[in-house]
Formats: sequence, structure tokens, C-alpha cells
Amino acid sequence: MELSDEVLCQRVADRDEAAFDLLVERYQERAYRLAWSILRDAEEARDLSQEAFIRLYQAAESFGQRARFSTWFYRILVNLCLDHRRKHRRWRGVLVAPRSEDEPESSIVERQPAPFQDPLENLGKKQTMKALWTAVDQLSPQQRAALLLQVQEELPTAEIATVLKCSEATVRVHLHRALTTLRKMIGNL
Amino acid sequence: MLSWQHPEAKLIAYVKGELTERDHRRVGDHLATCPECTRTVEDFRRILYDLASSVPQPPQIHWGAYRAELRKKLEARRQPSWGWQWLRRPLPMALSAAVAGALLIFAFQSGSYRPAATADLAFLEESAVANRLDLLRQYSMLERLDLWEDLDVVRHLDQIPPTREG
Repeated sequence: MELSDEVLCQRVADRDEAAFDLLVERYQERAYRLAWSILRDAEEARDLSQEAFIRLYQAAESFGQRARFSTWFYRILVNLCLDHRRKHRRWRGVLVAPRSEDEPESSIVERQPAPFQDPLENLGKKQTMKALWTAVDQLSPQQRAALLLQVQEELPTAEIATVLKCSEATVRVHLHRALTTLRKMIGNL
Repeated sequence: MLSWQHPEAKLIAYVKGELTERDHRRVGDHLATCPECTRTVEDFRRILYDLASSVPQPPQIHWGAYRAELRKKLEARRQPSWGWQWLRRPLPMALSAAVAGALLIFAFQSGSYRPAATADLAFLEESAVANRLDLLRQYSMLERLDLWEDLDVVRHLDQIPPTREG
């Protein structure tokens, strides 16, 4: 039987190295991808996601199972990334290429069958996606983090609130403002 | 009937399906009569769908190397700080002790040599003066004299016959 993340974290608190390795293997890709989504820098994403695992190892005892392990770990990771971004003030308008078709799918929405689109419409769609993600990069760090946790990690509002250390109402405000900004941008295309 | 004009604050929760059954029904009733809010909800849903279906992927990395690097960093954090490591190394400790000992010996020897030399010189000087003035022979008399008032006596000490002690 596969051990839950929470049980593994308890074992990490008892300095079970194998449990730590297993947690790293389970979360390494998600951690790196989420860090990269916030930072848009591969080296920094690599470094900070590793730092989050080190913090996890050091603070495993303080995980009281009041929240899910993933929420607790994302909280460590996202706060590390937001702090890093705040310190470095790197507001870069980075153009983000949309994912190619042959890359693996990852979200529930993606796993659903895609509607048929003709090539020309698809080309326009690609450009729209590119512009959309460029606009996401220009959102405030909090709005962007809330949106990424929503669309990338599919977290419920309560968990996003725990990760971002704010109320659920604040998360909804972040999401509402982010989507309103993106909607305006799409309307101007 | 709805008690609010446009339930903007609840639209996100509505889209995410996080409203209570009662609020969900109320917002749904409002949407049935409000094209503006209906359009907003449709746009929000479409944007969330588009974003979720086109999440950009970071550059690929080698996960084995990633974990090895992580393990190395973790090991480095476990090591005690440089100062404590230094204390555990015997060679620097021995060298430091040797240098400190040499400095102490040097300081001690330099400090004790000078007073000894001064004492020796003073003794030689006093002996020479005493011999010349015959002070040792007339020492008992000299003790009873006031140097400045009886300077005349001192000047002729060599002409005074020796006295017995006591």
C-alpha cells in the first residue's frame, strides 16, 4: 500500500531519509514547475524548489497535519518564491511560449477532450494564449500566485488562502481582479 | 428575488462551485435575468479553461541530478559551522597552541631580563662609589648623618678612623 504524503512527512520528522526521498520524487516536478511559473527563471526555480525541500526536511516536525501536506508544502514554496521576487524586484515582461502539443497534459481540464478547431483558428488561439500568459506575468505577485494555484494546481479557495496566508475572501478578490484584468486584455485584442 | 444588484463578490465562488446551495441558487436566478453578469461568468470560465489547458512548461531538467544536488545541499546544511569545524581539527589547534606558547615565553623572558640587568648595573655602580668614598668602612657613621647638613663630614669620611659597629 502506498503511504500518504502526511505519513511520509511524519517519518521525515523522525529523520527517515527514504521517506524524504520519496516525498521529493513525488513533488519535485510540481515544485519546480510552480516555482518557475512564479519566477520565470529556470535556475532560480531549481534553487528555490530545492530550498523548499530543505525547509521541509528541517521543519517536518512542525507539520501538525492540520492541513494537507501539499498545502503545507506549497505554502513553504510559494512564500519562498514571493519573498525572493519581492527582494529582487524582478518585474520582467517575459514572453512565455505556449506549450507544444506533444508535451504531457497535467490538469483535469486538459484531460478532457479538446473541441475541434481548424488550423487558422488554432493559430489565432495560440497567439491569444501567448498574449494571455504574457498578461498573467504582469499581474501583481499575489494575484498571479492565486491564479497559478487555481489553474495549475487546481487548489480549492480554502487551500489557496492557507498557502498565501490570507482569508478566502481575499483570495476571491485576487482571482476576481486577475480575471477582470485578463478579460479586459482579451477584449482589446 | 435577489437582495443585491450584481453579485460580483460571489461570481468567482460561483464559477468554482464553492457557494452554498442557497447562494448558488440565488446567483443562478440573477444570471438568468442579467446578461452582463452572465457574460462575466462565461468569460471567467473561458479564461480559466484556456489558462489551465495551456500552462507553460519550464525548461526540462535532469531529475537525478536535481535530487543529487538537493542531497548535497542538505548535507552541507547538516555540517556544523566553520568555527566549530576548525576547533575539531588537531593541526590548526596544535599550531595555534605552539605559537601562543612561544609568544608567552618570549614575553616572559623579555620582561624578566630587563629588571635583572638594571639590578646588576646598580650593584656595580654602588660598589664603585662606595669604594671610592669609603662608604662601606664608615657605614655606621653615615647612617647617623643628614646628607646635606653634614656634607662636610661626608667629604672627609676617608680621613675618619674606622668605627666599631653598634
